Amino acid sequence: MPSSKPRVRPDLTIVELDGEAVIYDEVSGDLHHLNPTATLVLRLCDGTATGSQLAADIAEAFGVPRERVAGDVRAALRSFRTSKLLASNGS
Amino acid sequence: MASQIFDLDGTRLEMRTTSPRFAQWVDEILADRRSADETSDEPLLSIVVEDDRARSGRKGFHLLYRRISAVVRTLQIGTLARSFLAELDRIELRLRADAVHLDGAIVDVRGTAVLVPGSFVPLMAMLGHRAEREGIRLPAHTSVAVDASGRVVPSRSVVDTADALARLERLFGSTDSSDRVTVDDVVEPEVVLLLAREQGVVLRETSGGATLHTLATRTLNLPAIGGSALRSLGTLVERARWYETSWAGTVRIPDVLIQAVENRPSHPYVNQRTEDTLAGR
Repeated sequence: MPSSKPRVRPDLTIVELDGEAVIYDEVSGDLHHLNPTATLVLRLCDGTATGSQLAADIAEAFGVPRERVAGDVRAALRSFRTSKLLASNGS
Repeated sequence: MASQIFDLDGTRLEMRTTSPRFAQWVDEILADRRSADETSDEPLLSIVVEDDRARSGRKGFHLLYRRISAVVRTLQIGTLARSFLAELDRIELRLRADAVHLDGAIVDVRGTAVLVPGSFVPLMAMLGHRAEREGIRLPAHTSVAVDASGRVVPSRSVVDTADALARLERLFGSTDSSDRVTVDDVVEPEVVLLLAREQGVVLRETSGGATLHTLATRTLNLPAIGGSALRSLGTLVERARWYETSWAGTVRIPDVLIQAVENRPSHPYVNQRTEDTLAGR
């Protein structure tokens, strides 16, 4: 898992409803809809923790094995990068 | 058949009607927007007015078509006129930042306001008296304005609506539009009904996120209004219940609407779903 500390772009508009985030990127005009797992990861992308640390935090909070969470976190971060949702210093 | 072309903020719209009186009304309310250009670049609006109904004793419908689709089919001239005005307004909505303008319509289902996709309106237009019998009032519009607090509000018109209706009264002796829902006051939709991607879905709950995402994709002026549109729509969605249905024919839609209004399940399942996903359940 990359050791950078992912941070969500501050210029995105993010609205969360029942644990699902909807994001509007005014720069690209794109809309995104995240599932609850990805939303949870996005919420934690504040530039203070690496992907591994995020996985550890989530695993601890939900009482599930870290290895199981790590894959979900990796997939979510990959998707965030592809969709350009992360600030450049967090990619 | 009268044909006229009007220039609405740089967009040329062609309007045809079978009725000299309706043509006169349009000519009066859009007098300063008449175009000398003979080509149009927006969907043609065709209006059939049953001008001779009183004389013949027939009960014919007035019809408004956007190209070949009937947007409204009504016995009331006021409804026809309001639908026509709503279609005019729709042309410039993408440029406006006064509200979130959404491709959608309010249906009154036994006293409950249901927000449906604008594409449902032409399809529901053929329901005729069945809608009335079921306690359903169909919309006279295919777009709605949503304010910052997530409420559906009256939309500013390209023409002076009060003046337009006064002229209609003078020409036709009526402005009644009580057979259709017009947004003249604030409306808070209790139910949002979306079109399901899959076939064969009669009616099922969907999530708030999916509902918000779909409404945002159906926002006509999202680039003009920006991210605040998402927050306004989020508030609207938060207050409503959310369902989706496949379009399985006009005949089924009253049952779907009634079922959506009468089912009142709670939906606190998403947080549980997060935990389930993470726990691999």
